[in-house]
Amino acid sequence: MDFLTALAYWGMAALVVINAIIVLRMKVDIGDRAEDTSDPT
Amino acid sequence: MEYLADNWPILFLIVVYITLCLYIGWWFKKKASEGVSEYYIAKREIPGWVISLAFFSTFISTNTYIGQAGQAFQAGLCWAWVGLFWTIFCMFSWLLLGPRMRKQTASLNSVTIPDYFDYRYKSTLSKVMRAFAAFVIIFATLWYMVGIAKGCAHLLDRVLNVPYAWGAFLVIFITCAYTVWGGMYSVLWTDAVQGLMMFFVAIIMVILPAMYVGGWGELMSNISYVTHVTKAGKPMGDGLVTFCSLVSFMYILGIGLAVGMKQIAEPRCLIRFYSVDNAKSMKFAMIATPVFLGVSLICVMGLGALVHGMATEKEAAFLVKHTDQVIGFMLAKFGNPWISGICLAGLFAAGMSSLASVMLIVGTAFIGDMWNLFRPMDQEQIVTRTKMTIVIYCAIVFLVTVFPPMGIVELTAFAGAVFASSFFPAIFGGLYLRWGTGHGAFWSMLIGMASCIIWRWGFRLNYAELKNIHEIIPSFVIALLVYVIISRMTQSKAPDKEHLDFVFGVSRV
Repeated sequence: MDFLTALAYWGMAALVVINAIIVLRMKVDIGDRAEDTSDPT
Repeated sequence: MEYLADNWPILFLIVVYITLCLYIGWWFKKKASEGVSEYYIAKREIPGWVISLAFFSTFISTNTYIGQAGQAFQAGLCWAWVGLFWTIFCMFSWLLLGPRMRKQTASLNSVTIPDYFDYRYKSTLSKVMRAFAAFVIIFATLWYMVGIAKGCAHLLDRVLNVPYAWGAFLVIFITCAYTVWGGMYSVLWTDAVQGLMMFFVAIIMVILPAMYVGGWGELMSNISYVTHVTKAGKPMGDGLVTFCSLVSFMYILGIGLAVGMKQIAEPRCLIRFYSVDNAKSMKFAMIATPVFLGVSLICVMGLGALVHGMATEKEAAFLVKHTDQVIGFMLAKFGNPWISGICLAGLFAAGMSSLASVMLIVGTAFIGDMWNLFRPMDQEQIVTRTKMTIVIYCAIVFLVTVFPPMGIVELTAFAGAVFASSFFPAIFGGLYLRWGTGHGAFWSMLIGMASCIIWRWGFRLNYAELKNIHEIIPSFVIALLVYVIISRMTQSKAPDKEHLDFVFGVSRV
């Protein structure tokens, strides 16, 4: 398949990884007592 | 007897799956009926891994595993770009909306999306807006449910020779049963089971064409150049592996946006955030949901194109005009009853998980956000009447399914476009924009929906040059503009500072 067609498949895989990295680095607060206080760095 | 002998593995697996779903519904029957918070949002006590699988399985339905996968038979492998847009919106939904929505709705004691609009905006139009939002849900959901039931019915017809109407009846009313019994507990826990099944079935299905022809290399070689014809009768050649050779990018964009944006606007997806039990669960789900979605879409979105490797010219000529039947054809031609049984159970899981979610949303919309709004009733009556509404609505869906108006992919996309243009500005504005007003939200909903319908029926179907510009694009832009302009013009009608501080003061994410 050509590059642009393949890009869709590789792109989905890359987005999943990038998302995981972003979330692992962020502090998530939903207002409950058991907040996630992990250091964003 | 011959029928049973030929089909017993498939029937056995489907019966096991259905029994499990009904058992889960029955298990939660008493707990779900304890009150509105239990029945509508499972009392916000569901762990993150369940929510993650539930979000994935409710968003991805047979419209994807049958409709979208089948569409790739016409469009080629580049149809996966639709999946790429969906993955992007999944990320947006969880990163931008999830935590904030969970926090604000808990502090406002909101249990539905329409009541969130009411409590957040505190406008003179609040009740009207809430009822209108409920109306949009009831209207748009009908087409969506019909699309799913149609896909499942075709599948049962193709693989098990179950007459179409009977297949639709079974899918709709089995789902109705466990949803009515267990409310949101049942919906979420069956969604989790179904999500796991769907994930593994996606991986199994993508392997089947390669196994049939004797390997990936052979398969890719077969589909790299085919003499099969397009819907218009022209040879496809290398179109299956060439970017946008068989389908326009505007069409891909339209479907990608219209369906993908449901994740940021449609109640059945957003209501998942309500039920998360704590921040750790939320964080887990924020990572896991795109994983489930992304991997499944990588497997499924180009699957129809791979099926060309299994089809003769005559079969391909039929399937290119009936793409809803491509996956059923693939399973029948592969010819392994155990594989067919597992995949069928997964495909039904895909359909039923989405059906259950929207059924419950329709019930809560009609009773919680319309009837109870103008004629308040006690908790027990709310729950009982919600159950009755679900049953009646399912009967209507069944009748319309017997005479469906258009193809599965288009049905879903239209419903998604209505939600995205009607709801997203009000939701995003509610979560992020202190200056957003109830008037801005209400008019953006009304005009968003109207522009969607007008573009589709007034322009797109009547002007050839506009055919590939999906209604989501103009209606979404128009709705956003209306929200901003009307909100700015009605600042005097915004909620007081105390209320806004309450809503936003507890939502620093």
